[in-house]
Amino acid sequence: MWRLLLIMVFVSGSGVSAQPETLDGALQKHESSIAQVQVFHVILHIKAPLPPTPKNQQDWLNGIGREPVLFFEGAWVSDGVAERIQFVPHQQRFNDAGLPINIDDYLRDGDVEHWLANWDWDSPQTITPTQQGTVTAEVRPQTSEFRSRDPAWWLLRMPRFETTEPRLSLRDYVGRFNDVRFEQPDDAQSPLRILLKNDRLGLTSDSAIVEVLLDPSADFQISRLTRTTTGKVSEKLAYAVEEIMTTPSGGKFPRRVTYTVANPQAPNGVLMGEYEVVKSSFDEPLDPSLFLFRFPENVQVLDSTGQADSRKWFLWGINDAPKAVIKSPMDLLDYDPVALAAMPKRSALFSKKSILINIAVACIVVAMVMLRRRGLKRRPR
Amino acid sequence: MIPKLRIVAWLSVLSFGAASTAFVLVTVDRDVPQYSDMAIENIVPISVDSKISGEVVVVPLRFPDADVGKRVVGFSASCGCTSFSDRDGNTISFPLLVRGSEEPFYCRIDTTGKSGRSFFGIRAELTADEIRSDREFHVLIDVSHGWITIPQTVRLKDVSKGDIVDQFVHVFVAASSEQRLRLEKTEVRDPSHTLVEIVDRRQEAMRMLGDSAASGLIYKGSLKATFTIAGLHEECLTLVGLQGHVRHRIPVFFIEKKGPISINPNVLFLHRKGVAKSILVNALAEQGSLTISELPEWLKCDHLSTVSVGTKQERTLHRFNFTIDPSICPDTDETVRCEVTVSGQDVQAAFEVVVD
Repeated sequence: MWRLLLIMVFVSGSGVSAQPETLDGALQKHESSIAQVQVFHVILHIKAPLPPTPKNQQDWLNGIGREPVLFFEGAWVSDGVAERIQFVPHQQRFNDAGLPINIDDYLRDGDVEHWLANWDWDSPQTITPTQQGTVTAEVRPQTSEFRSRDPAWWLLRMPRFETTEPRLSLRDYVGRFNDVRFEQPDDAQSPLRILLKNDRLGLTSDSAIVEVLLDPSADFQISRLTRTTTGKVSEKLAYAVEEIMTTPSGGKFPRRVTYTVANPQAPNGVLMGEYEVVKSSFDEPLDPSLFLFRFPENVQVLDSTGQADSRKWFLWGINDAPKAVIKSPMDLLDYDPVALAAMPKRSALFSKKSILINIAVACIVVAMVMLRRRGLKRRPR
Repeated sequence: MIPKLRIVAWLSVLSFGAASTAFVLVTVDRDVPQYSDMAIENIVPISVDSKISGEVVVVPLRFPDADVGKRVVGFSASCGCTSFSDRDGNTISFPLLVRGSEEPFYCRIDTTGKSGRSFFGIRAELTADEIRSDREFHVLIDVSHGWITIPQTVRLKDVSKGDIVDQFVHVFVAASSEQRLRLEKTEVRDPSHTLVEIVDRRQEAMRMLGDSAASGLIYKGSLKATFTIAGLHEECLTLVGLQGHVRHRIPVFFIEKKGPISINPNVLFLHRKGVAKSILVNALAEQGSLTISELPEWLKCDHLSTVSVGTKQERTLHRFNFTIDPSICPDTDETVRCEVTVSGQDVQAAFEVVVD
């Protein structure tokens, strides 16, 4: 009797909202919960197992030496309108030529996306107008396409499984599928279940079923996202929120999410990634420098913010502004005297003056030959 | 002596030519696979009439009597635009028994994005008594241009929730496809969020698109935007023709107007005996003081904090905390509409508090 009473008190006083009865109701509660946390600055650690080496391959297959190590550190800042996403690698930091790779810096202001890749301001690589190393710089319209490391994906605020999938809210993600099933649990504590099949965009296999669990105790945020594929390729990808934190405004934000992959060889699932918020601030003043984005000098910037079919190509100057519009790669030589000096000189035979002289010499030779032949013909035998 | 030298010179030139020709032939021959290696008896060429880009072609895959009783273990294709089904249109699960050439399997090829003569290779893997064999089908389709639209992507900036925006879309169709391809209807991914209505249609002069002549129509569409979450909203406008066999997608992006005030969330769910929750009002810093409209007695609101945030424009984040007094809160589900006003100005924004 006492136990029953205790359970009743716990349920009634737990602060868990009533279970929505429809999919729309569930999505509304989820949206409300996501919208509650709009201004934040979080530091993320992305951990993953190191790939096997020839020496530890057997151990690795047996699960030994697969402990996740820190791969990337990321910063995600949002002011409710704009967001900044930065990642630096802790593994696989350089390519074979010793140049930095896997560094990303994005500023998305809701309209335009700025992107600078593989540039370390503390230890910049040497670039010239013609030699860009591994650096890439772009300005483009902000769309739902975001093919990069994405905290909104990993922390299940914008669910997806592949970088090729668009970055959408849960409502828009659900709208992508033709077959949608909403299951309400029997009790108020269990998660709501949304099953999705038949992707209109064709970005997931026809046999794949996506399951989204919304946890009432986590204010209807996604607690688990799985994609099960059967048939020739049989696998189950699962993102699960392991820990969640409460913000000062009463909102919820995942603290730790794991990503596992299960297949017939590993039916219990293998841990492939762990995303952990190691530092966070919510609804606090944001330092304006967090949104200060600039391109380095001499970087080539591709700007596609104009018409869909017109792209501009700039060479960036010292004052974070373009110093030249580039029409062809040869234009870059005007700003790179070293490269210009190193260009192989055109052969003397092909210079304009030489061509004229050569034509003249050839004409003289032909004329002489013809005159000689005519002279030979006229000479009596 | 001199004629002999001339002969020797000619012979050396000729032998050099022959040697280099032989070298080239041998090298080329090594790179090209031998035709006899390709099990030519298993290749079944299928030609299909010309199609319009975007049309789905259904190709029956027939197996000869020799294959009856074998099982199809799997299909693979040279492009990801194929899917396989049985006679009833059901997706195939393997293995499948081959019942004879009268009961074919069906391959659906989506020609979206293809143009010109397109080649598709399909390989069926068969098994019988643990002996595996392959059968190849080659499909040739002449694909002509479908619709070409200007713009290819619609980006609508500074749209507010509920706005109806007029947008022109120029739809061109290549002269070779004009007789067959008519725009029958338009679709949107989520009709509850976006409304599309063709309000005007007129003929446009013929023009060249690439190397083919195209006639065009201008459609003036009316797009309505509703936002569930502030920021970017994506929609997909689909043109449908040939009784649904041809579809052309135009991505539409609504970029929300950054008003002087934005409220998150638009709907705040509160439980009677639950914890307090906050509404966050993101407002331009130069706005005056904010007040919230009169609330029922059982709903309390405190202005908890004001902090500076923002990038391009200086903005201030106001946190209003809501709590319920359960002793006087009605037992029924309640929805309270709250309006946020800036001192001395009209109502700028509103939100709802739902008690359940």
